[in-house]
Amino acid sequence: MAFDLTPLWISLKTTLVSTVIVFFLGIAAARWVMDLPPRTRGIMDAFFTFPMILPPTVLGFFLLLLLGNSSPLGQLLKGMGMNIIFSWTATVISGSVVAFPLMYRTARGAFEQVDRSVIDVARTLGLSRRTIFMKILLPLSLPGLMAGTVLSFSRTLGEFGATLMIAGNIPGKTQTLPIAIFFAVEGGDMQTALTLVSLIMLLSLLCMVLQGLWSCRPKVMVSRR
Amino acid sequence: MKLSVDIVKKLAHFSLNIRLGLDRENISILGPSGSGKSMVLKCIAGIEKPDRGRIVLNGRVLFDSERGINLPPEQRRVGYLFQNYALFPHMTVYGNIEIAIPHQWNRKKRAHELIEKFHLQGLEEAYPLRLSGGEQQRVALARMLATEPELVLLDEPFSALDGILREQMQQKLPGLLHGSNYLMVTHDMDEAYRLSEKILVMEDGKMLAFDARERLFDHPPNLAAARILGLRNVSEATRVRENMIMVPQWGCLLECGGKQRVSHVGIRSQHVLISSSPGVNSFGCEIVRTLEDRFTATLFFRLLLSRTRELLLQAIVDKTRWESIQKGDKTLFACFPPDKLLLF
Repeated sequence: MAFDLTPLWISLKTTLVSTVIVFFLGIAAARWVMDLPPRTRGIMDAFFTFPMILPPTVLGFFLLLLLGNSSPLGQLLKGMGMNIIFSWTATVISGSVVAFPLMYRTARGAFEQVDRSVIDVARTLGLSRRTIFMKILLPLSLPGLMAGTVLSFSRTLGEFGATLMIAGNIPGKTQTLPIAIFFAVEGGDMQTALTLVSLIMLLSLLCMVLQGLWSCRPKVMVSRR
Repeated sequence: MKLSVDIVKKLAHFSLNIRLGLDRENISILGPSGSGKSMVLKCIAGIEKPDRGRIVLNGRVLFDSERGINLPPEQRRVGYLFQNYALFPHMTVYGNIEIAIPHQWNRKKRAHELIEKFHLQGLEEAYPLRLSGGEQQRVALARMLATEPELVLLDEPFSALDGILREQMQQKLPGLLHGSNYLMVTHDMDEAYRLSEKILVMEDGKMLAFDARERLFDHPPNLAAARILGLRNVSEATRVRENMIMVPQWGCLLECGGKQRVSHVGIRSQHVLISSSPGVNSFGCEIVRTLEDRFTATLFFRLLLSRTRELLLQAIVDKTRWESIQKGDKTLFACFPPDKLLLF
């Protein structure tokens, strides 16, 4: 019997694209928040973290309201000939929104643990903000950023609630692995469910192993004499 | 090189209030930990922003609250040597120095010049964590001078070095800086004296004194500054005659001219003479404790005529002298030479 692997491909595609988006957005947001005055920073921090504490279904509901045909944004997109709801793009949007806080939080933490005096000294040396960010802040927070990326990847891979709300369950189009599992079990098809479950477990495990391998690579800068 | 600083900044526990001028000379800021010394440097470098005031370097206004000027650190041309050196841990020695060189065209050549000048040959490819404290400091200095700063700020530059290395670097530093003037922060008065012409004494954000080093050590303007400058024997005092003061806490009268309105008297431990023969301002004394160093001994003593038995005075004497005093079994006298007494 030819097993239908499309949920795997959809999941992989969605997760990869979301992770890339979230990687850049999370880092940019964390960097931007760092320079804000303390009060504004607190407010923006709460705003960026908010998706993390909402139940995914509630998040999906809000996204539905925001992007649906009755909202101004939805109207605008419709005018441009784009229909987001129940499309593959929707899986990417929901995946990105749920993973964004994870990336943002870890990136902020990673930036904050970089020794302040190293950044300060770079400024007195006359280095531009861009150089400081690209050549000093980013490399020094790399381990934290990688951890954030893995977290985001895993979170998006397992995303169910919000995706179901705005992307639905269209086999071959928006049916990701977790959604396929849910509907397989609901339809009593335990065989398919089990196969899909094994697949997703393998994928997560692989992800962890890669992260583990990466983090124990030889580190020149921390090796002692 | 000319710098003038006049700034006010409110901090958590006190308010920083500093006014100083520097004209082709080296200055130390001396004060106990947490007195706001480093904050002064950070304000000059532009890392921290004062609440009010003005900072001018060689005629360039770096900060002026009234005119709304606040140059960012990258435009101030002020070098800052951090206490922990703040090297970029992910870059090699060469990388650390090269990144600070402003002009693209002579980067390589200049980096190699600096590496040579700071005796870092052979360490170009090493990462900072592999270096010793002294090597790290030289890299930090080379990196700072790569930018050709107009003023150099040193934040406790020797606190991370030990023993011989500290002494060596204290000797070499002015030469390595190549005549650049510096403003140094330290809590070590010997270091301040060795490495600067003028010393600013501060405590809790306030300036207690600012003067040439000899004048400051010989005639501290107030008691708080004198204490920070190492004065240990202090007591309240009142003038009883034109050339006589009464020191109730030591329980004695001291012959002493000079200032007529007196509230306190003090004498450095190094100036108290301990001998077996009496003289001017001499009193029988009893040694209670000693603290011996290799070449000197600190004697903690009380005057025999004193009623207040708790208060101990200090004298620092030569070790050989201390040994010969110990051999003799005579009564000891503590002498306070009138010209060494500090009146406040």
